[in-house]
Amino acid sequence: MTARFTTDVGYPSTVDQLVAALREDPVYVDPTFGNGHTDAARDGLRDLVDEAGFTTYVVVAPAPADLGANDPARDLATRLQTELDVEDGAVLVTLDSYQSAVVTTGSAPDARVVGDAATELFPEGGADAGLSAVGRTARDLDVLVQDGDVDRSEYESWAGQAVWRRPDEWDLDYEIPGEGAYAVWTTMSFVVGSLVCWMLLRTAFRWRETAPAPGGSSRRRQEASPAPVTRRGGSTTPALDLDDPADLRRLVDRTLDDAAQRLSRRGADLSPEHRETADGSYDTARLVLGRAGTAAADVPDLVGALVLARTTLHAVDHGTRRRRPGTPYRTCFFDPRHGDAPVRRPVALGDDEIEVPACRACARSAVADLRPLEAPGRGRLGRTRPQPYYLADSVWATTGYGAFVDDLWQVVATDLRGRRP
Amino acid sequence: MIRSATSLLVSLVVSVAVGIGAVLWTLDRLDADPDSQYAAGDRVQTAVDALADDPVYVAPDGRRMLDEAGEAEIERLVAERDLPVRVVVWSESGEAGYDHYIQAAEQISYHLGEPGILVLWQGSEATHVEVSEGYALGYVGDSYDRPADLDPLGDADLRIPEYLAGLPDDPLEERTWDYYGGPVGGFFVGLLYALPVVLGVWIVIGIARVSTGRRFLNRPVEARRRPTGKPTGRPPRDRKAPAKKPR
Repeated sequence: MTARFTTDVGYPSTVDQLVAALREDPVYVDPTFGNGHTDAARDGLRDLVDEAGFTTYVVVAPAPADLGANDPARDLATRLQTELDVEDGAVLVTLDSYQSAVVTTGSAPDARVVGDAATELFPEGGADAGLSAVGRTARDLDVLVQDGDVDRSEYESWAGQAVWRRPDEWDLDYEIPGEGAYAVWTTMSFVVGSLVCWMLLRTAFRWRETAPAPGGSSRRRQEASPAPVTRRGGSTTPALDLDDPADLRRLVDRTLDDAAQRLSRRGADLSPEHRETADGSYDTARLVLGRAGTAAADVPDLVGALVLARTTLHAVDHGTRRRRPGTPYRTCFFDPRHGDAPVRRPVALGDDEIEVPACRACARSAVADLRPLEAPGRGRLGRTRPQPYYLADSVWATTGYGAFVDDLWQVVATDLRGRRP
Repeated sequence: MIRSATSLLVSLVVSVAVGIGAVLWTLDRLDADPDSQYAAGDRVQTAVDALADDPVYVAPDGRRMLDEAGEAEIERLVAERDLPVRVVVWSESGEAGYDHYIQAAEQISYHLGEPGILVLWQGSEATHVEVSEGYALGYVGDSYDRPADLDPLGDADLRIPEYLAGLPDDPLEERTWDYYGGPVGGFFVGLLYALPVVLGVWIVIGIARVSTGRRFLNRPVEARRRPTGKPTGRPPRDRKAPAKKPR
């Protein structure tokens, strides 16, 4: 406003004062134009000036008084160039966010490289986006020093540095967090943090347990097969692998020997019906066993022999005259190797549903988890393919190993006679 | 059983620990938040440092707007009435490290660290009176009037004393208003905010479980089919009928 203060303000406010200041230091950045980092900006510009192979003066400041109104920046740059006798060099002047000028003389690179770089790299405009006035000046000086030979990423990198970047946008809605905000965010972070962690941990801990059906989880498979059978086999010898036909055959032999001993000891005490069941089952078991080999395909027959042998044991154990007639021996429908069937469970059969005897494990299992005893079946192209035994064409399918009939041995013996060559 | 009890306990302890960790992290963030929000550039910091000793700061570039005599007069007025007022006189600049001059006033006010009124005089209509966060200007005397606004047109050595004269004796009034309604309200708002997040994560975890062939719920596959088939009440006679009639 009034001229009375302008001479003693402590900063260059006229062209003459600026000239004097630039003679001391080729870079003048006014504190009001320092983008909050005046010292760092001065240092950065000085480095660039040192790097340049030509005399360079840089002014980033509010416009001094008495400049031409049309293009004050260019006016100031030209006057500085004259006053400072710049013959081979550059003068960069930035007066505010929009007013700037670059003037070069002599052997210094042409000032046009600055504008050319901007239009070449940003043909759509926006070259100065995000840059403060002092940042723009530094970038332009860099372009000049490199004679316009800059790539886009280098050109853009200036806007990424705090010293040169414009300050972040003022957040009008910001409030210092109060008690309520503290309560909101601590509650939320605790609830989200702990519950998410809880859900992840529970899922992780139960990952194996909740594994899907194909083959069931490993734990289920273990409890499904041999354990009950070996116990039933009444033997303390090492557990037999009942998937192995040879082992299975050994078990049948052992069970039959056991049955023979008990039958000879207690046969006389049995009621006639039980005696008949015991003898018939024993003989049929021997017959079946005699015909079966130890190939994988013989497993259904070996299992049948095992069931018949156990039927004998059952008849001997439960068939004394003193006792009431017991129920027929029932074995797990899905795989008799599982052992006795103390419970029943329904299974879907086509549109129908029937109840079958089952061991406890099979009774608990989902349909997809059931692993019925497999028998060789006919696959495509004449190949054999394992299928559940009850889908095969055999006496075991019709009888369900005793699930559907009370006197298994008779049906089996009849079948054997029919098949006898 | 023991294994599942142990895993439950481990999950519980770890979850609570993670929750507490999240709270500590949040507290840290909340404490640091205003500092980053009001991070000051060198111009603002110079003003803050100067105001620590002297209620009026006239920057070199603001000296043309307020001379030493005017500065001394304002200092006398502030001291006389013991007003919590600070005055900054500097020239307007859009390149001094803040996005807006009111933001600069907020930064100065925040960094002064005590409740007060900050007059930022820039010699134009871009002049601002900032009251510390959490406070408002009180009423004048017994009336329902707030103090008159600072008139930005004219000389600082006239307008600023005029404004100070119009301030009530005790010009600051504490605001008790809380956006979330205090700690209790905040607690429930926090639950409200947390709910959809937890729900979303639950769904994502469920989808992850389903995509690996598991159930959506964290349960074994068998459990779903436990009640396989309703009891039919029928005897197990069927097309797989016995070859021979049972006794």
